Amino acid sequence: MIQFVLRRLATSAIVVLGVSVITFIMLHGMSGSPGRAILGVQASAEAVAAFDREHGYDRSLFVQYFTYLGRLLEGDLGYSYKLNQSVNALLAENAGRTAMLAGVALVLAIAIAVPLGVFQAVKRNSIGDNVLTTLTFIAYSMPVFLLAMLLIQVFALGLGVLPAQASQSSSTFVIFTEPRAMLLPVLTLTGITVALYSRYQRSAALDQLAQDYIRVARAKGLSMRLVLTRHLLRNACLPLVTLIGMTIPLLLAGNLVVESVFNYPGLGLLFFNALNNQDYPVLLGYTLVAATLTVLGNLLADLLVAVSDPRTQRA
Amino acid sequence: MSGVRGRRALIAATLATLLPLAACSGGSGSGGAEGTGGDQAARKSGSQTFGELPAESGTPKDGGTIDIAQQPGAGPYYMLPIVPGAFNSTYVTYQFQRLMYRPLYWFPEGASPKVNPALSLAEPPEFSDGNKTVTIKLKPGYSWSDGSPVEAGDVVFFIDLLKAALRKNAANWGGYTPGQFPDNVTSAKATSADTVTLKLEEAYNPEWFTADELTSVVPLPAKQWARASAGGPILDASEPKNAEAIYTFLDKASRDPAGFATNPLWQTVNGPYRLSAFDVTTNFYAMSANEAYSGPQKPRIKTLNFRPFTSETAKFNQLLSGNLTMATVDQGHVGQVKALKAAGYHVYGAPRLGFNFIMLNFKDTTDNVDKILGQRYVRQALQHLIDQPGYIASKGMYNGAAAESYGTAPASSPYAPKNVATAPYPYDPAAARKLLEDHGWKVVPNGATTCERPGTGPSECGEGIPQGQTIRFNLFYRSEPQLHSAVSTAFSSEARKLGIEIAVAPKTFSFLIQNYNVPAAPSKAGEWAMSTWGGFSTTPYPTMTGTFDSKGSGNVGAYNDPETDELIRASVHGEDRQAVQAEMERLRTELPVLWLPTAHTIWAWKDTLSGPQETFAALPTTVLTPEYWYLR
Repeated sequence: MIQFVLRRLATSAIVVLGVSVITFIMLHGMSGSPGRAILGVQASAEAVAAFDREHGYDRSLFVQYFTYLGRLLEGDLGYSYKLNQSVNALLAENAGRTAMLAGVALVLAIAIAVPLGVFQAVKRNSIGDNVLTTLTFIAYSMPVFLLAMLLIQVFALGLGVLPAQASQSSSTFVIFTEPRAMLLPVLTLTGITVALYSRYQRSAALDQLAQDYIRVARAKGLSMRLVLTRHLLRNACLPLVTLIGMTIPLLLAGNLVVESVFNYPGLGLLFFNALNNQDYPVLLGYTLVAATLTVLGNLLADLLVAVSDPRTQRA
Repeated sequence: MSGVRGRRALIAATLATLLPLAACSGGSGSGGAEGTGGDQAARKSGSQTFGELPAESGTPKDGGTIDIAQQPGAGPYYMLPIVPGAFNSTYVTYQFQRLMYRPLYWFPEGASPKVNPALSLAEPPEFSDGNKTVTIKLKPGYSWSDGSPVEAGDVVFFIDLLKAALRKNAANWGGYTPGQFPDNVTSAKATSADTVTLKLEEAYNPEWFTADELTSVVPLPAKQWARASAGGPILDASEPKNAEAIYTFLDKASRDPAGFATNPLWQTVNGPYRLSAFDVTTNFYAMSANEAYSGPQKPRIKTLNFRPFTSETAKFNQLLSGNLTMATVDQGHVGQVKALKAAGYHVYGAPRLGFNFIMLNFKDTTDNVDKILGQRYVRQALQHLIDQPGYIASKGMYNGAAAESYGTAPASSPYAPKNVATAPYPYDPAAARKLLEDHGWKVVPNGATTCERPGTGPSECGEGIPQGQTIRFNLFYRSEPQLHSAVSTAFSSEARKLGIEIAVAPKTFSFLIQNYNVPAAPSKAGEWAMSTWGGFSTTPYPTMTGTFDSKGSGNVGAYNDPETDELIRASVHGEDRQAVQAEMERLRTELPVLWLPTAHTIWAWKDTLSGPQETFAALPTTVLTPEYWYLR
């Protein structure tokens, strides 16, 4: 097991380093002059040249990358020249809020999707299954922004029972202190995620239901509830565990839309604005953090699967 | 049987789910349609304003709080009123700093983008010595919030500090153009407590120097800020070494947003408001009234909350919910203006101070593009293919929220010639065709128009254009918003009908300005013939020095016209205060670019907020004067 973990950790580190190289080259390679992008089309050529010189953009890409890497090893992700703050501070300010929103939505989605998927598998082709299938297909095929706008239209502008924007507090724990203000953003992210997870869960549960060990368990006289909770659930959840690991970047991307529509500044929006402003240090910092989270998410998923099914450790 | 039941259930479930969606989308759609129809009167095609300004109403009273929306992603990130290019925007200078630090010369005056003597800290400047000496006399009675008067030394302190900033790095001031202010000031002296004398390197047009250069000067509290460290001694900023140390200290404090509202430095103000809160995470900030404000109108509203927004959609939803006192309305929501009015908002817009265009590249030698665009009649023909009134009326383009414009400033500018909103070459494909045929081209509609009569005579194609030459351009447009795509495609389609091929392709704004911008990337000059990304902002006195003069550092398309050079020189260095009008007229007809409509900048504010009409008329220039406003 330890060897497995070490092997996966080493692979993860290489992936993160590779992402940093590729992102750095892509961002800097496609840009003729970051100074021009930052200072605008009407800035003088002298100002642009001075800006590029001050930030080292007049040096070779090779030198720039290794300077960046050197700072990175000291934990310095750079300084945003648009937001006038260190990237570390910006990520720290926004990460908690994003993590809280995504985390709550994720937990809710799992809590809803797992029993929902199992229920649909057990009640395959029933009215309930068909209704739920229809609803999840609609939610699954619906763009996040559309679901968000519909919820705002109905609950905020129409019925007026919930605010149209998320809480404006800068607290990380705003979900708990102002749950009413956070209901629509959480509902949007949860809705989209449930639709995805429940489909996978239903499919995985159907596969397991057809397995011999389920029949044996039933033949031994075990109640359906015990069969489901003791035998089916653990095995049917394995594909979902992998999926959850892979969903972390999707959740971050989903957050961008939710943050944008519900006026909830977080990591996704920080990245989006940095992209518009060509704020390279923020773009690099975010990409690196997102890559690390994705790799860690996958690693965690692999570990959970390995614990659940030791055969995978040999793979 | 169960299968049938299942299918019925499926259909029922589908309908149950779709009905509310249909209701929602239907509601929004009809709202939008009603809004569009209902505001026709307010949005006549090409109208110079969007809607009408409401008359001042109610009895002015003190107190209250208003909530103003920040522009998404445009929070203020710098305090010192010498804003580096990276942080510079009208939102930072006009909507943030100006409320705390008043410029020496204020603009606009109502809707007119000109110097406003009533709100300026100084009397109009006097020019002497053949316009090489400027004497500025400060008005009596203006003071800092600590009670000390605003003095000539504060003006000179700003200039000393600005020079120190630029010595360190040319990017340290967003308003810097090499050779212009402060490079052109050889000496700045406080000759008395209320008089500043500037010696200039050469003679300048007084109107230009006042409206475009002196409006950038912001007196700073020398007796408080001329230090190299917190609590350090007051230094003589006229010594360059001291000025650099002071700038370094103030710049560092300006790079600490967490301290914006708490650092005692920034509490000394001479504007009607001072910063009282700043949230680094959300970028929310609040300003409270400066009770010691010594300007013509003491602030009535006690607190201004500037609410941050992540998107135009989020901002508009808050407007509709009635949770904002005022905000801008972007082009994407123009169709829902009626809903805003129903929610109790006044809505008004006008063109910003600037102009929009399709940039032409006179240096692109690919397939003789430079030779073809160099012919004035070709540019005229191309302008004839642009249907500004049609673009403005189109729901897919400006949706009624723009003004016709054929010059470098809006019609509201006191410097603009009267015909600036009159098309020199109106939409007329037949006229365009005639122009080409009269100059030796065989026009093949939807085919390839070719030059039949090469040569330089009046009825020939022009210098450098060989027989058989076709007219082919590429046009790169900004990929968002969708407006640029719609305009470019319409233009290309019209050109195609005359046998002119314009291949359109989207690029990001960042890519366009980094790559298809001659001064920035001359090596790419052969890659683009036309580009459109929006437009330029202009200064109150709208000369195009640096932009359309042949040696201008920002002459993106390398336009070269000796007569324009002369007119620009007269605008900047001549005696005639209205010289810029002749320059604008020349550019209007010579077409260094192809003119596009100028979109309205639209504001919505609650009908419970009122004040003098002219203070709301100034909103499209993004300048706020909330000290005049009150809640009814």
